Amino acid sequence: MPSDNAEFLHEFVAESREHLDTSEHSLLRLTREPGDAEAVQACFRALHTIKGGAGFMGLDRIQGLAHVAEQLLDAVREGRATAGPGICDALLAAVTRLRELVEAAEQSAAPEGDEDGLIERIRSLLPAAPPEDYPATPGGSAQNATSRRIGRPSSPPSDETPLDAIAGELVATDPADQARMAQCVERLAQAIVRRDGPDAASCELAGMRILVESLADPAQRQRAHTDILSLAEMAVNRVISARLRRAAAPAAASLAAASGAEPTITDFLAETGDLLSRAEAVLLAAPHPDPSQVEELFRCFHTVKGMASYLGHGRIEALAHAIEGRLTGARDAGLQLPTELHQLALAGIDALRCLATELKRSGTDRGPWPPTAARFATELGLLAEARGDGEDVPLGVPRIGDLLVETGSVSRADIEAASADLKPGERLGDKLVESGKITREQAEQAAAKQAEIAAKVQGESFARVSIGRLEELVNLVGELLITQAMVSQEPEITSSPRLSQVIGRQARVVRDLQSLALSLRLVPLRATFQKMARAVHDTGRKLGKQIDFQIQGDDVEVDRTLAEAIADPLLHMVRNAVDHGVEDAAGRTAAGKPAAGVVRLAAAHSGDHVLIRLSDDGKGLDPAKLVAKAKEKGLIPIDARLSDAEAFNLIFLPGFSTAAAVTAVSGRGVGMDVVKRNVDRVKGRVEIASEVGRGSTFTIRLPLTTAILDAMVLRVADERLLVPITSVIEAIRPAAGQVGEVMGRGRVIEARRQLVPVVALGQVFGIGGAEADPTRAVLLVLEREGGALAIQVDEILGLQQVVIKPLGSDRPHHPGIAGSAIMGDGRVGLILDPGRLLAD
Amino acid sequence: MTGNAPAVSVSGTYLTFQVASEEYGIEILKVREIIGMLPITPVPGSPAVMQGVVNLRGKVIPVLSMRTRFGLPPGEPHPHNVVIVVDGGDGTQIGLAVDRVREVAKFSEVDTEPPPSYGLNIDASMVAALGKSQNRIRILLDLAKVLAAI
Repeated sequence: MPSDNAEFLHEFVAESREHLDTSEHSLLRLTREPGDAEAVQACFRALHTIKGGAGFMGLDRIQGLAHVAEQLLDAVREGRATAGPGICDALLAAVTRLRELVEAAEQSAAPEGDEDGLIERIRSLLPAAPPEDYPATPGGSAQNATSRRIGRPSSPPSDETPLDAIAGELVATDPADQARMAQCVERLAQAIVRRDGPDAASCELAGMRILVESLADPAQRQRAHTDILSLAEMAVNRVISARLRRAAAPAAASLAAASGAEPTITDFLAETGDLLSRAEAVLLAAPHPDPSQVEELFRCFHTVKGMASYLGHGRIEALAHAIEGRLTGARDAGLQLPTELHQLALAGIDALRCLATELKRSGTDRGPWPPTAARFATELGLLAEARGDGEDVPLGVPRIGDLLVETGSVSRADIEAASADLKPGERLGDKLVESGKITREQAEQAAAKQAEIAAKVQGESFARVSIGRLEELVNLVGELLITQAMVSQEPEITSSPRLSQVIGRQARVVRDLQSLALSLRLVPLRATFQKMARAVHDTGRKLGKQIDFQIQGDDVEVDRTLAEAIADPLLHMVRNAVDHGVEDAAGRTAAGKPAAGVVRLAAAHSGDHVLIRLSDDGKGLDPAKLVAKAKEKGLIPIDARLSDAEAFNLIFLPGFSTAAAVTAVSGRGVGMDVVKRNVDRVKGRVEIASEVGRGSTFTIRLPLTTAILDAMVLRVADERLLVPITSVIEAIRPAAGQVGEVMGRGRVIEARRQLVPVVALGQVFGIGGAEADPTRAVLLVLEREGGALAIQVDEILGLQQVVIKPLGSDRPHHPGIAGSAIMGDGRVGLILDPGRLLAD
Repeated sequence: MTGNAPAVSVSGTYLTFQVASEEYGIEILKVREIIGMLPITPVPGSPAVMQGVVNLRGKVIPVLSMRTRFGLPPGEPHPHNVVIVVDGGDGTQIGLAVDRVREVAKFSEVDTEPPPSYGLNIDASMVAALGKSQNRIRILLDLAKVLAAI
């Protein structure tokens, strides 16, 4: 395998994860609504893409499993099977297993266990006669070779021997055995031509064939043998690189779109052009193509479809797929092509050419349909007539008409009337404006609204950038911000009103740039929430509980690190909600509740925080029971009196578990204390509200980003220290005698009617030259878990928003230091963690 | 340690630098860049060898004092003082504070000798070989050992 394999593998793994998330999400939707065709389609596509990618990467097991799962979905899609619980569960299991296999592939490890049983299980669910998804190859490979010029990304035949295996055989073969060598070379050539076309490694293959002749001559044998082997290696490398390139094409295309270079589109257009010309030639040569010609036509469209699917050219894929579908009947029946299909195929070629031209022009297969293609697509029923607005809106994006009706600008009847005589390529909005139903403004507003939603829906699929580069961008922007600040303070600039005005404008741009850069780290909570949907499904099924899981606000965005940090705690809480929160069916009926328990997961913005709320309508937490339990376990004094809120918070104590019995689902040692710790770590908070018999609500309050901190800048001798502004309660300049000594406990000060320990930062951090006399220093009272704390510093320098950076060192340091930030003068300041200043 | 022969070849190109009166070398391939002395922020509670952290174009990286690492007292600041930024593995960068940079020198197999088992002023485990050329002796360091946690 070539060395760039790792990069492609990485790309494949990242893509597959996304596709698996999509599949899982769709399957869960399908479990709830077995007739959801959109979900079937989405899942099918996702698995199909994974299969194709795995084929290229030579990940046979992933490919195999994805293939059967895809077959099953295909059966569901075509109505040959019904998506009952059996099928959904099997497919969910397949997704889980695929995830494991993908993870293993990422680690380059051999996956544990096997999936043979699972594959059998899925096969057993397949309807009796699954259609051949790939046509059998008719005889005469030479004749057909040109029609298979391009690899069929989505259709690796199962009997294919990997190239390296054949190459390995070649190496192992005795050079004197010329016949055997020739046979190996031919097999290699066939394997390459079959999947990659005759041009894939034609020079190497030709060279090998010539050299095989030379093997007969003992004098030349050794030399020829060496050359054959190196040619074989080159051929295999070249072909595999090409396959990998194609596998990575979707990502490459999206990245290339940003950089302007578009080699894959060029390739695609060239190949598509060839295939369409070839199909056209067949059609024009024969008014009634015979079965073998139909076969060839079929393959042309099939290949165009495969490539388009791979590169994400959705419309071309859809059209080619539809044409291919129409041809299937004639091909399978072995009949001549009927006249109407002949015409359809020709029209299809025109339409595809149109889309290809559009793709070449705009670089994307999105946007308004070109008229010819629109007409053809409408004819095929791909572009619904009712929609008729000539728009290609992705799933989840409302149509202009719907938006207009929603805003009350126009009636549904008007829309229908207008779209009835809408010509292809004409826009509904224009039509309505012309006919005076709406104003131009209303049309534009609706279009803007639609674009906004479309951007949201498609937002994630634009470009994939490595986190490393993103961090670097944030770093550089931070640096820019600092140099900018330095420049603006230069006397030469401050003395010139004109210059300082320009610099001021620049400062605003730089700040905008910074917030943009930081926003790049944000991800929607969707993926995290989808994981929870799966957990609810699995847990509910295991416990035999019926759960109605509702998600809200999964488009709320949080910092990537936050999304990762809360995934585990949330998972635990969700399982808890299903396990401990929601009663079993009998209990619910007895309590007069519907049999299905409701678990809701909602996210919303609140100021500069994000709130994630998990609520259930279960039995709720009983404060009295919690207190009794905590006393019994010796976690609180026997005479303690707690408020309800305090009682609820008991569940965060290590060693506290409310489950009477430890079930298989939750309560395996990891408790709510771990949840709390994880949330604390990202500066979040968990709050509980609960009512006995009515249910509980857990609210996780998170900062918007972990990357930026509003800090108070403090000075201790020559060092600058930063403390999160949210933890500062008050600043005190103590009078003489206000700071007292408590025997054995050091200095304390009375603040907010309690004694608060005083920590002289200069002393605990060993900073020389710090002010020792508290009355000449400043005390900052900080809020922290386990009571307030006052830190003694020399001076408060001000407030500053800083970008939090890790210390970049794994060497130990004082636990009270949480990180660092770059200050206005370019030096590094240290950020304090008030909670851990007194940890030792 | 079995014998003095280095397990791997130590020949190659080295960046040499001076700390106190000795000249040391580290493999040039591990060197990212050389930067002038920056204001270093000490990190409380960290080991003595860690002089602090600096801002390297927006990235915070640790700086290790080679004087402390070699068991020497801190020197007087000098305009020649620099920080050599090296690859710390896993994409991390670490700065090495040295007195001054000397040169980039090539050492072939014949120019190098296994480290002596005695007579060195520094911890011998850090030394990959002694490099001899132009009648000078340079101590060629094993960077991984130099960076090893202390």
